[in-house]
Amino acid sequence: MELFQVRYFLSLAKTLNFRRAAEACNVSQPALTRAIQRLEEEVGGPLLYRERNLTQLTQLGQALLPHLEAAYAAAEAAAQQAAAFKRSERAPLRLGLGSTLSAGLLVPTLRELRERLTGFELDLSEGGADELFARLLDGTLDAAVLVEPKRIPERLNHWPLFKERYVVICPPDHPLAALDEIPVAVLGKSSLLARSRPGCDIEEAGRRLTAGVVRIDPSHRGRSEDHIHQMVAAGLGIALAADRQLMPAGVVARPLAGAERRIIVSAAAGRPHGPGVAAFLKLMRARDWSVPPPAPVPRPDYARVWKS
Amino acid sequence: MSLKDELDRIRAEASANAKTMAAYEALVAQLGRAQTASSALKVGDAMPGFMLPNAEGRLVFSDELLAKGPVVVNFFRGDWCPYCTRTLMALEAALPRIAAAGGQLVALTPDTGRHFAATRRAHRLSYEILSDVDGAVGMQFGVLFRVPELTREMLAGFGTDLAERHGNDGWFIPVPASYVVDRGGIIRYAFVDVDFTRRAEPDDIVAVLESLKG
Repeated sequence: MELFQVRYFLSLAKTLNFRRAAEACNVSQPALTRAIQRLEEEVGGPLLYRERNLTQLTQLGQALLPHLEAAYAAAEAAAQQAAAFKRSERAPLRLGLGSTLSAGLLVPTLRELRERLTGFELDLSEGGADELFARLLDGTLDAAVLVEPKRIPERLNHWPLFKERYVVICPPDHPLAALDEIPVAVLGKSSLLARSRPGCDIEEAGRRLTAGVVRIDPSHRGRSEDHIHQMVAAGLGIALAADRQLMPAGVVARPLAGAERRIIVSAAAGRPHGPGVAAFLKLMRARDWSVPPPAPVPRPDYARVWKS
Repeated sequence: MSLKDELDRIRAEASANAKTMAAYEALVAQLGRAQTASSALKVGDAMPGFMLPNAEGRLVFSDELLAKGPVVVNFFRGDWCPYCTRTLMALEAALPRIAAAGGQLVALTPDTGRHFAATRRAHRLSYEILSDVDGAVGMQFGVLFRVPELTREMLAGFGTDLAERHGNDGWFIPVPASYVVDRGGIIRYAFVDVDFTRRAEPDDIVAVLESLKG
């Protein structure tokens, strides 16, 4: 499969007219027809219905269109992006992060971008899925890393990164801390701390997974993930959380049986990516998420640092 | 024993399975009809520049490789393919000779995430394995094709899900191809065969690198 064949096909998919597509690609109509035939040989079936007055994509053509678009855009941009890295032009990345995800997930990728991309500029913000999607669509975000929701707008590309388990967090001396894994039924006697942030995926998962078994405690409420984690550390109760969130001291996490969520990275479809965005997406998708990131550097001994 | 002998042995074992052989023959015939090999980059062509993640989450740039010397670019389908893993191992065995001849070796696969990193670990490869995300570089080299239905069914039978491995459901993979690119970025050796049981001999690659030293 060659780049020009794909370009001809994409033009044909847009115009649905062999003559106009040939004009747009600046080639003769027979040359375009031959290239499409060869592409059809390669993908193993016809991409277009050719009727006298009507050219239409076949089912195969329709199915392949988004992938050929993506691969073509990636190929076109690849050389350009490699060159852009060497110039010190601005390479902004406006990145959204789901509210229940730790920015620690991004550290190796951000470090690599900072080291390799001279003009790298990061604008990191957080939000719920609806807000992040709206901002990807209106172009105020380039990419977002978030928990996969039930519905994703069609005009957004999205790629799975990894799955992680939901966990129950409690103080180390809590009876639940003695279990390796917590069946929902065992939670029956407890109540969970409530998150007051609307649309929180952990809160929704908590209600869904523990419906009819577990009470959500209305007496203590926290808005952010840090609030909830610290409230558990303070002994105000136990809470649902996610495996890769960074927990404060005085909190242990035990997986909740049969409960997990999927983390995705998303970006608007059909929009050209600058070098910062393209490299970010590639690095995140290529990363081996089964390997835990390196442990944080231990806190220095400040008393000694100050003395010296 | 040459790499060819080892690949022939794998093929002889695989030929016991009629379904596997039927899928193999159909695939090679389809790619032959489509003249896939002739559409790939050839000797004398310039290598397209690339920037790809390696198994450690670092970015590898083709121009930085070329600044150090000639580059051997090997496209492979993934470690679900026994011919690919055998070839990757043969290249590892030849690595000291490739390095002695001034060459650097990179292997590109459309696999992403844990899959391509696992390939490097599992086969103890010390050269770079790069994730060609969405086949961007493979498409520029003209080596990409779409996996036909029969092959997909066969792969599904082995539990191999390329959509999951690639992070997209386009089902594009490269025909196995090996290139030697000189420091000026010009292709000086190209091996492309639609028959995925045929691969470049590491000895031939080393010989080309030796001749570039001259």
